[in-house]
Amino acid sequence: MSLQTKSSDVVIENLGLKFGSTHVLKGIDLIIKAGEFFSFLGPSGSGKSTLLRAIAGFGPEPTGRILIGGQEVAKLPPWERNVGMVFQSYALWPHMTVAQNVAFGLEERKVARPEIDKRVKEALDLVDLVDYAQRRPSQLSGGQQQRVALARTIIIEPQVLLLDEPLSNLDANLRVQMRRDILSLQKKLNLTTIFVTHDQEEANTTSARIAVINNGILQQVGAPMELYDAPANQFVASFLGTANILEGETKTNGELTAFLSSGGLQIPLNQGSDQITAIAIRPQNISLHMPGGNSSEAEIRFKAVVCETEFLGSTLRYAIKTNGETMLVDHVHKPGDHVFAVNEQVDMAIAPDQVTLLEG
Amino acid sequence: MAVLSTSERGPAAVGLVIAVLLALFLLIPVLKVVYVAFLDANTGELTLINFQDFFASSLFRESFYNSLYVAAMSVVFASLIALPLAYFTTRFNFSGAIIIQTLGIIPLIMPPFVGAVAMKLLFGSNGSVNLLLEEYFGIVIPFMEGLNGVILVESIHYFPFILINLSAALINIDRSMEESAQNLGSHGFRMFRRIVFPLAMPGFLAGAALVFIKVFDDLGTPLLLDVNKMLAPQAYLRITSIGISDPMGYVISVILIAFSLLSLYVSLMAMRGKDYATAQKGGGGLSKRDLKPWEKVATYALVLFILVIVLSPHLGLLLLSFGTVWSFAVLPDGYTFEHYFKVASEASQYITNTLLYAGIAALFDVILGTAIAYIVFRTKLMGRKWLDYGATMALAVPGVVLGIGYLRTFYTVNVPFVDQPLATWWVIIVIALTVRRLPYALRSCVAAIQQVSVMLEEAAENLGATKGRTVMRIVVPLMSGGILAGFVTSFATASVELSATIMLVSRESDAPLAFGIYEFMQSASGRGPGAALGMIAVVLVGLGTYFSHKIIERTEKRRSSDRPVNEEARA
Repeated sequence: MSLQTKSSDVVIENLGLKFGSTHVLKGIDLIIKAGEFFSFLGPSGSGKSTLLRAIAGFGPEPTGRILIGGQEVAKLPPWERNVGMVFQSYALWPHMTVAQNVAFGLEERKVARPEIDKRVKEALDLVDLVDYAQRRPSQLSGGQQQRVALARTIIIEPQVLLLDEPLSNLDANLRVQMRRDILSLQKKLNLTTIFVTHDQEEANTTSARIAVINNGILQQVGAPMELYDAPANQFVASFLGTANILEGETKTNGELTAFLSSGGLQIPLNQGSDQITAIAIRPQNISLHMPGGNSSEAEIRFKAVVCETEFLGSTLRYAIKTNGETMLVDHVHKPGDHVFAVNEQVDMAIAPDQVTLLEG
Repeated sequence: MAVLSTSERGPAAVGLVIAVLLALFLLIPVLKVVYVAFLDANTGELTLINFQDFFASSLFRESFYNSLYVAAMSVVFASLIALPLAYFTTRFNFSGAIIIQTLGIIPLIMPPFVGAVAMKLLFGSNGSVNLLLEEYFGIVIPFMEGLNGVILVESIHYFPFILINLSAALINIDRSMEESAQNLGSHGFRMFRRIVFPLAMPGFLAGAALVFIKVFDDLGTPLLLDVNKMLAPQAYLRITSIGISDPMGYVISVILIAFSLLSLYVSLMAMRGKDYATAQKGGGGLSKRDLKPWEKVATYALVLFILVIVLSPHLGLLLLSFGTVWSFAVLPDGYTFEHYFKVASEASQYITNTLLYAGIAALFDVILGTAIAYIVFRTKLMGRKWLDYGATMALAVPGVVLGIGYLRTFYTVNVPFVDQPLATWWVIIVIALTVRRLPYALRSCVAAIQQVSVMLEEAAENLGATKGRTVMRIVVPLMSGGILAGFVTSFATASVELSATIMLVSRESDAPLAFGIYEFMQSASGRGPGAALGMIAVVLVGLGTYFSHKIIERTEKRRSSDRPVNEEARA
């Protein structure tokens, strides 16, 4: 494998960006390590694509600093930054063949013809498309076009690979396959990669670390499991997976600390602080029982009534009402298990150590 | 034909009637012209002798080369005008963009021949510009001498066809096409040459082919500029001076048709398999940038210069219509309303005729257009596509050819009651206009029906409406904006049509506006009234075009406000 990559780190300092008078990015600070597979995750309109485009040099000029491999690039035009971007729509040029598309970047860099031909073949080989070199992009399937776009980008040996929702135009099966292909290519080339997506599964399965972005503000950075288990705020808790979020306050009475929800549910906590304004409990961390059973020490029980049931295949999801709150509870479905009926009285069990405390 | 379901019998009958009409008034006359071109006038046998005679004559050979030369040069000059304009409007945040886009309607609101005489007074060897050039620089530029004049008038007139197509192609290029090139290290002119221009090429070729054929077929402009050694004028002169049995007119017609088809083919090939409309959902188009101050000044200067040239026929016509005497002078000697009074008292029949002819023609066009659009998009009738192709074929038939075809075909058809040949009855002018403008109305109707969801019709049928009632109560009302726009476009362009009608006008009292202008412009004393008549035509057509734009705009606005609120942000 002769494709070289000068894998570099990306440092973003206090980055802000405006479209007209609208602040799209606000004070973003991020460090992406060399060779890392990193995701920007957020809903549409969150600013994640804008941030990616700012790294590539597209869009309005941001305030703050962007350093790639230690070099300040925020003021450079796109063609002077050595970052490779794969566009959501692939942006293959329809008037050129696959080989011409892939060769473009090297031609612009005035590389000698024999060298270009050799490297185009290598790049196409890497994405398994050598036989398609003379085709037009319109003659390829979506997945093949995606791979041409990848080949066209990595051939210039970029310092960073930027992927803007690269899987969103593919159908479900292909998406999983392509995800794996991108990941293995990234590993092979040890290429710093930033991947923009609104799909948490895509981010979780590919990334070493994820930055969750909403309303132009960085919400939390961390490994996928960290974000899921210890969300920093309500947005992260509800955006990654499903969570019961109860707003309220902590009450301390001597040695005992408890969280009192605005609906009136009271949950004892091991520790507490005045900053806590909400708690999150994942539906799978709550269980339902027949009324009157014995509770273990690690959990507390509440009386509840079932309002709705939804069968989701691997799980049964109940909506229950207890002490003025409506909550979701997931039971793993196994054939023969008892299924609670709507309006049935139940006991709801919560283990306090499964409760996530959310500040501000 | 396969057995038809009850619901398709009505459309089938209508389709059949339209097919017969198209055959009668488009296909047969054109085939007749082609047939006669290959007929030995003496023996009645099929032969190539007419073509040999044509190319043996130095006059015809010269006319042929002249037509090719004028059409090709017009494309070159029209491109020179259109390229910078298209580039500025699509690349920069430039407030002149609206003015430039408005230029697009110039070929519609005034046929080139109307301005040709005024152009002679402005740019001729004794015209305003050359008088000024001679006084200050001591030079005279032969803008209007011979073929130059035709090229100048035609390219000034038809450049918007290239402008519109090229701009549309540029706008349809997605921003990511450019961004990915920049991302890979390309920028500036090199990127324009390698990425942007190749992507816009099909649009440019389509526009260029259209200009080529419009110029190649044009009859009025060379006639008014006294340039007779071109194909269309030769065909006209042979038929009017020697008679409809002279084979040369037919040979020329075949050549005109051949080139029409050739350029249609070229533009089709340019577009095929190159659907370069790469714009993605959620905003495409090339990224625009702001101009630096000095760039702004230079750009405005260039755009203004082009505007002055482009509007010169209109300005000239205006001056001519109000001027007393204008000869060997930069501007007319004095100004008067006299020409307008003269036109109002002597030439009002031209105006009433035009309103009548163009009105009837446009009405038939939208009726036929709606019917064809419905049959093509809403039924499964066999051969329905051919109705569309057939009607659109009229685009490839030069007006001169249709005129000759009608004369030849319908001269022997006597109309009962009025007891005269169909070819000399005023109704034939209306038919010619209807056929010539049908493609315009049809495109409007097709666009309109494609915006009507089939579900809306199914809902009506589900509630008990028959096909016929559904068409009347749901389809036509929903298409009304497009139908109205089609009517106005057909009406406006029909009222200034000359090339077919000039052949078919048999008496002054039947003549329409365009013919009247042509008649007036023949003599020096008639120029004033001719220009006044021309101004009336410009205003008439300009208003029509304005209203059709307004109608389309209003319909689109209403339609978009009907859409449910987009909830995509929740994704």
